[in-house]
Amino acid sequence: MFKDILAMSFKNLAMNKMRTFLTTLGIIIGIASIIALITIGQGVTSSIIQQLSGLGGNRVTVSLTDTRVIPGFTEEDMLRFEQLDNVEGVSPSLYATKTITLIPGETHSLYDRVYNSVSRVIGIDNYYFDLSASQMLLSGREIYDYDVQNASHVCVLGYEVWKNLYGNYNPIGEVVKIQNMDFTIVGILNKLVGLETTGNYSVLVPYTVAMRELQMGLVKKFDVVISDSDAVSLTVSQMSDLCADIVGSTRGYSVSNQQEVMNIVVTITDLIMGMLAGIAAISLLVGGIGIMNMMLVSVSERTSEIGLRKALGAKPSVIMFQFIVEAVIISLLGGILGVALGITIAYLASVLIGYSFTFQASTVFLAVGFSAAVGLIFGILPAKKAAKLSPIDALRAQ
Amino acid sequence: MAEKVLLSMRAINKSYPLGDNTLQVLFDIDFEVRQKEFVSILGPSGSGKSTLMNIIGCLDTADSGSYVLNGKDIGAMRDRQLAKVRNNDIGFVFQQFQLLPRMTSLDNVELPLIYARVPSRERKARAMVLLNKVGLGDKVMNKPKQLSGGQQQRVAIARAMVTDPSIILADEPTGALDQATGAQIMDLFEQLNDEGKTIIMITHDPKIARRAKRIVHILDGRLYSAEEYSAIYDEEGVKWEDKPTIRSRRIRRNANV
Repeated sequence: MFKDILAMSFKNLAMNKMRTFLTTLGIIIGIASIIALITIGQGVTSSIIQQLSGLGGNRVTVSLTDTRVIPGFTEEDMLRFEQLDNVEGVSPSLYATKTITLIPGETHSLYDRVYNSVSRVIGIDNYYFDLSASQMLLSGREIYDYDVQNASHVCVLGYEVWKNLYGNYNPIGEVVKIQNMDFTIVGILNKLVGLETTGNYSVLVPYTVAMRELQMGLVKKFDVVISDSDAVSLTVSQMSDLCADIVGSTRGYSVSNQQEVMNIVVTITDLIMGMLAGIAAISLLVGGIGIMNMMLVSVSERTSEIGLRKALGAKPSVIMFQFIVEAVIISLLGGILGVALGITIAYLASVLIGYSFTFQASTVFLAVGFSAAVGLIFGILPAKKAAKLSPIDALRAQ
Repeated sequence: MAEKVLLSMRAINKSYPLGDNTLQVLFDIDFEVRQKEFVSILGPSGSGKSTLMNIIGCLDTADSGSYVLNGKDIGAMRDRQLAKVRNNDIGFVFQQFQLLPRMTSLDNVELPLIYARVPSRERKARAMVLLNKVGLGDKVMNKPKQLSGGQQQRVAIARAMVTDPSIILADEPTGALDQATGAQIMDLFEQLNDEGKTIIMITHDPKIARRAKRIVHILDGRLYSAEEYSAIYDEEGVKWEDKPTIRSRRIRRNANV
């Protein structure tokens, strides 16, 4: 009997194609907007996480928050961190704003005169290039450990710096002056997205050069890379102790785990996406009301049919079931089409915005289940109305 | 009559709310139908025959009195059980045929069997047998619009018979048909009755009613047998006591002079 009722419902819906489609459209839009928002949200979040976590993951940032206590960490201080158990390496970064000078004849640039550009210089080591899981380098090579050890005068240009100084020309091998010292350009960074955008406007040099020759002072902030992900919390506490020892105080520094930052980011993006999806859910509610409206019209149109079916022996529950099935078919159809549309929108958005596109099967099941529930909820009232019709009045209606 | 009693009504009353008052439509109806009978209930419009038909057909329930159909006490039943009785024990034939316009003859005839949860293959077979029986074996895939009124009523009769019900309940079955087609439908009913079907027919047309083997009259919510009726009313439905007597005619004639 279920099969027969299902067939009858499909027939009825197919009779009024336009009406069925328009009703379905309400659900399609609702589900599509929810799916699109959730999928875009997941994609953006996972992109951010990827950029945060880097290849090695397990980075703990030590930073000096109050330089009045001590001016910064020395190379010897950092060596002590490096000697802790489970520590793979230490990656310092020093920031300073420097003048970069291009002299015609010594370098090929966009400018045919001596050109001074003020730019941020970051002293880093090779770990910097593990920051993001995506390809960090557009061209050339990274700053290697031997550059750091030998304090070689090499630099890597951030994307925007490269654009500004060289346009689209290949600058690798060219020499620029930073604070009147020659630096050979060995690489260009990709355009970074997410939280690592500072690199775009910076020139990267080995931190040893930055400390010793560019007088960028002591290290205010460095990352510690931990080799064993299970030992992160233990190592963090050891690092705090070490910090306290070096600083000579329990204040003025912070040891923060990337994981914590990541958790905060995820919480925030989840919150925003949840809010947006909630707004989208309102359109689903409107779609549900559309279904209810259409079903009520359908019940009053088919009053005499309902009466006849009842006279022929259809129980109230069977009539009710038939109308609920119709409502659920509409909403389920809308749900499936809505998922397809939503994923398409999310995919196009990922191409346009430039994050990696992912979607979870659970989202799809959730959306389809949700739409079926909408059909069920908004189908009950009209179905009850149909089931309650008296066969005599209904037969007389013709 | 040796046949067993199929339908038995005792002291059935029915009234409807009418504004602040109630309008009593049926008064103490006693009615009995035996197996293989062909009874017509004859009455003018407003006599309560539709209400009586609804109660016989289990579409409605009486306010008081007892109704036993095929050994089942209908009065005590709820909606769900009434639906089952309608499905099993009653085959309806309506004045306006009441076929579902979007379905083929075959689908229409199958419909009661769907509600009886008969498997698809058996449904088709049983529906085909009955469509052949009413002479529409070549019209099974036609929709009602493609059939004449008489053919549509035949489909409806096939549908009424398909669950092999205890009674066929026909409400003005020729009301929407011309004389000749109506007569053919009545021939079909007679044939079915000869084959052993119990038929109850409701009509306002004495000519059609006379095709049945027994007539009961309904007037102002009261049921009369043919004998009782002819004792009260003449052939034109005028009360004997209202007819002017020879004496009163003479008096009136004298007064006019």
